[in-house]
Amino acid sequence: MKNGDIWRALAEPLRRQLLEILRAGAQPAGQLALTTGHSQPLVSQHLRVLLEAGLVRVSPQGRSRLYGLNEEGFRTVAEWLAQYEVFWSERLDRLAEVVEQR
Amino acid sequence: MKDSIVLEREFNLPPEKIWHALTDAETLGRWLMPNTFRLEVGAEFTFSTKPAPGFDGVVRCKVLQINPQRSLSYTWQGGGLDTVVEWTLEPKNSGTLLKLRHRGFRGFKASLIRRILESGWKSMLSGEAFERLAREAK
Repeated sequence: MKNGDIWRALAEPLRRQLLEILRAGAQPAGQLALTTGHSQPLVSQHLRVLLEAGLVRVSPQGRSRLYGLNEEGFRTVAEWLAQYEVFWSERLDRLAEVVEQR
Repeated sequence: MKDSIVLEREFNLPPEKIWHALTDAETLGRWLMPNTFRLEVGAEFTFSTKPAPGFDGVVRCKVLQINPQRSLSYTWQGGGLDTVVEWTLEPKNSGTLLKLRHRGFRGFKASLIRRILESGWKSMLSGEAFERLAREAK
């Protein structure tokens, strides 16, 4: 998936509705189809977009698969900043190693 | 709210050595990420890393500004991030002070997503309020 797909995933009303429903807890695709009144293939198609955008994750339960919100996909700006700060700090350490070798 | 990451490092090497490590694709790949960098204003390039949920592992970039051995900036987009990375080199004593500023996090869409999730978004489902937020995020 390309850049900005979290946003694109959210731009579709049915996908927002699915996320809204999933806030209450994980569910199988069939149940989501019943709740929304849409066909299961259509719901599965939208779930796939949400999965690829990292907003939803799937876990097996017995013979079915449960779809739930992926908390990781909803990181706050502060969390992103902290993550990137660690990332850059490590990379700058590596930069120091690389330039000092030469 | 904080919008940028700012980091500094001092090197006992002249700016041209550091500049080379920032702008030579092969050297850049040894400390940052494998990339297709080209030192040319407007050049589009990518950094590649391991994919993660919501991130395909590709950072898409475009060179914004080049001031040889002094400064370099490019866009940094990936996984919903739409940010800018700025490098500044200053001669210091006989070495170099390297400054990194990674800015633009405030506009990050995830904060908006969070707001939408937290604000009871029944009303958002109508679309209108959502579209307004979408415009605000741009």
